[in-house]
Amino acid sequence: MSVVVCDGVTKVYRRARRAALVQCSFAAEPGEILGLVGPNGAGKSTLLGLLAGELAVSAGTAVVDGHRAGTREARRAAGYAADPPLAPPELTGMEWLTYLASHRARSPRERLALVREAVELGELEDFASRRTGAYSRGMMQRLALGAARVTAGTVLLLDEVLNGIDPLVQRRVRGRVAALARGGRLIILASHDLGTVERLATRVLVLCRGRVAADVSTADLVSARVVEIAVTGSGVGAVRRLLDRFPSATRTETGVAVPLERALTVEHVLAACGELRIAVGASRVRYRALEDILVAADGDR
Amino acid sequence: MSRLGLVLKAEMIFGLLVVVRHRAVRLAGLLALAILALGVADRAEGGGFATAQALIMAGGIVTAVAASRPLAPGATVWAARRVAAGWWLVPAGRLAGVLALVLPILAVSTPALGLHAPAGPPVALAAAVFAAALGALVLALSPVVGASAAATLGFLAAFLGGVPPSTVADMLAPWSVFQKAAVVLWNVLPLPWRVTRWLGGSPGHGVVLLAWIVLGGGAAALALARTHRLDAVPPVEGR
Repeated sequence: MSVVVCDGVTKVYRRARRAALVQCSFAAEPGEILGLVGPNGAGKSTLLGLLAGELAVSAGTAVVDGHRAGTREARRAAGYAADPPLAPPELTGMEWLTYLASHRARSPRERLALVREAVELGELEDFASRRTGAYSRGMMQRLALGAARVTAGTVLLLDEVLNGIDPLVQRRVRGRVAALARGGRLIILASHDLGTVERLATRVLVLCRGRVAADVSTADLVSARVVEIAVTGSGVGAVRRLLDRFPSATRTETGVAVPLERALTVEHVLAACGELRIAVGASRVRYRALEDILVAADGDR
Repeated sequence: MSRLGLVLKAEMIFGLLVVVRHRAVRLAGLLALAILALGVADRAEGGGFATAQALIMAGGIVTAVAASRPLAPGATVWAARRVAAGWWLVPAGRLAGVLALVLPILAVSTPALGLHAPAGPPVALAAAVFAAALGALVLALSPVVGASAAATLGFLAAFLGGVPPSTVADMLAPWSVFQKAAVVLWNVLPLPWRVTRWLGGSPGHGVVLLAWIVLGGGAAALALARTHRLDAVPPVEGR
């Protein structure tokens, strides 16, 4: 059973007179790690804000754990790490987590256990006793992750929460987030760091200009391959000819990337280069990356 | 400890911590201390400065500044939304946190100043009820107008509110438009002059102050709810 369901969700910011989300529909199951990617202003943070109950839906329906998003029950189901992360600067990290845990726990013992889990998830031991007003960006991100864990029922909404964390800690934190998903929680992670999303997510929604432009599973992503052609000499005209020949191809820094879809092979692509009299400097085959999907979805060829 | 007790305690500690660790509150505390010292000195010299009024003013000033912090826009309001507690729990708990700072000051100062009311309730009780009423009002204002503006309004109320409505009416006699509005406000708001009358033996003023605690708490809950009100959301079907 889906734990988050969006059906035709639209969000219009009245003051800006701008639709941040348009007819956005998807469903997500417990155990999934759903990545949200897209350019700035694509609607990723707006979508998370709507699911967290921070924003009101303008049209359509968003349901979290069986309750309409924004209701008290839905807010209790979702742990939310906002971007930028928020915590009262007067409190220490430990006091902040204890406060949040007091609202979810049924006993002091359970509260303590929740706080311990949050400290472990964000690796907060070294600075949890310091006031949050003195935290660096990375420390705040880690605290926000812990706070989202403490307040989460079945869903964790993480907005750019792994950015700014050093690579070694990030690697361990990714493992713990994945373990949370394996434990039956739904994780929705919005990020510009496509590498992190590729490593962590089981499924990715690509948002462009407020619409769901692509919905792919990470397994499908890595099973598909792409041939990259580096063009020498003839430059822009050659790239243009290749893009016209292969409609699903996208531009790269040195040439084009052509997805090897259906019966298309590397030999076919190289033969086409010969037919078009394009000088190929180098070619390589790699797995398809999230960036290929994002660029294709955005129409930025 | 029950779940409700756990939540109320958490809100109270949250309120107390954000208050005692803010520099504006410490500055207000210094000002209040100076006012109390003036009252003590004046009393020792047999002057006319009413010591009970000094206590009420000092308590009011600390309360007004302190109560502007627990629901200051930003992380503290955000926290109230994230925990999704019952509507009354956050305002009640955080007001209790403010009072946890102010009430001990009043409890210690009253006997130290040798205060006792001839006809009304104990001075410390009346001052505590006033502090709670003013605190509830400032608490309700801060998410709406901002912490600094709410603290300023509360500070002015505590500082100037000892003047009775009749004196306000006399002072503003040349400006009849302002006079009417000011007198109405003076008669409605929880101001120090009302405590003086209560201490003088008019229990009605105590009832008005108690009503303000409920009204302010309710308004604070409403202000928190309004920040995440759901407009134009159709009902969920098929559940």
